[in-house]
Amino acid sequence: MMNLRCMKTFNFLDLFQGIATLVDSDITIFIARISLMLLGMLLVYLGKKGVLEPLLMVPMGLGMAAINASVLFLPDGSQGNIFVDPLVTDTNQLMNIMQINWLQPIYTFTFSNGLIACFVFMGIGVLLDVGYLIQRPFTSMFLAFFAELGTFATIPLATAMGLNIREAASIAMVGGADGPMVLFTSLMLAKNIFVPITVVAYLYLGLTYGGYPYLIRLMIPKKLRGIKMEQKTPPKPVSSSAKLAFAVVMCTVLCLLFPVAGPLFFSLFVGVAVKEAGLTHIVEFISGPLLYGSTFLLGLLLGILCEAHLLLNPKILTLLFLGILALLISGIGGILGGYLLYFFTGGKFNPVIGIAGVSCVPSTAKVAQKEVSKVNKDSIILSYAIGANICGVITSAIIAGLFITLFK
Amino acid sequence: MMENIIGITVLMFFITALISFGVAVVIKFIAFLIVSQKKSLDIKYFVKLYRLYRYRSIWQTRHLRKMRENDEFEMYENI
Repeated sequence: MMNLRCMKTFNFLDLFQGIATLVDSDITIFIARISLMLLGMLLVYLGKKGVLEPLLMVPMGLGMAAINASVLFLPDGSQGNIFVDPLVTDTNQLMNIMQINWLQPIYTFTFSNGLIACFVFMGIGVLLDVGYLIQRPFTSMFLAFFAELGTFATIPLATAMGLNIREAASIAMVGGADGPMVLFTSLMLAKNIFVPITVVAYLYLGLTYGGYPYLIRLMIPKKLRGIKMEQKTPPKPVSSSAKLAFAVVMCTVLCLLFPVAGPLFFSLFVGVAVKEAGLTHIVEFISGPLLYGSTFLLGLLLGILCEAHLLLNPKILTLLFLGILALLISGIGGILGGYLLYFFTGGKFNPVIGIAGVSCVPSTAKVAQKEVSKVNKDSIILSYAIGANICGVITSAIIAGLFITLFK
Repeated sequence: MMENIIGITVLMFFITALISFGVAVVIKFIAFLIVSQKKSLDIKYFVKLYRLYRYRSIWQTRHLRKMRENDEFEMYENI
């Protein structure tokens, strides 16, 4: 009899809460959740196909699909999930949530304080060979500076579109094409919208690999793309001591100038320093488990943060537009810098190298070399491109420091 | 408001240019000191510097002694 009574009050949807919450939510959330689930699947597919960066896109896409599917009714009647709650600020509430949400400890202790961005930066530092930069510092810095054009141009545009100066600076950092830097800056300046900004940034950074070749072909004629870089004297090899000295001096000087971006500078240069000091075991640890582990967790958390409630910010369309604009202007700026050097050197400089000033290490350098090789197989520009690429990272860090110092 | 933001952006643009140039100069300096294998960081350089310092102190002592001999100290003391 009791069982029958239970059966009468039993709602079939209570058994499948993901569907129940979908039915219960308003039409906007319903459409957003379904769209994000499909987008997540698409990202996994594009990652597998190699169109987007698979290291980031596979965990991110799957996380995006899973988080929008697994929304349930919480004890207080509201809708939520048991993955992570990025908006919790009260300490007691956080301690309670940390015992329920499985990704909350990783989010709180690594993501929201920028630690994961610093770990990725250490990994980038270990992978960088600053020798290319030491051989041609002025050329590399010149190109990197021009490739930041999008970062500066986006700020007034963003404020004209209704964002405040901190939000504008955060989304403008997408022009620097450096994921950890965007994450760090938006955490410092615009914590209220750092989730959509970081998601937009990482989505677009994946596109640099696919989109920039078209920009190069559009702006640079075939004849100029094939220019062979000739050197009067072969560059002197740079010793490990020089690279180590470079890392130590640069880290100290930049930390002195911008203490707020100190963690980023330190992380980048400590990677360079341990590599050049010959600390093999630490290099193996940073370039292996730390870098890949951080990238995986970063992708996973970014996907999990793409929950419909969090992403349905009225500013998301503005951010999407500004993000792509910043990257586009930066790419154009880099190529313009390349053209300037082409004219300064009397036509001996390949303007394609300019795109490598956009600091998406090492994607843009690889894109530049690929495009040049398609036209002239004998033209090797990779050393120039890597130098500009590394300078791009340094310039982005300088700008991040400047923004945080001025606007915080 | 908009003029201010454009002004700040232009200012930041120039500050970044300046810092980028400064960074390039620092890198060039490091390259000059170490990469080009100049002898400037050689131990002899420091020995020379130390000798210079010693000469300076010897010169100072001599100079002071000379001043004392000429009673220049007293003259200053009177002033």
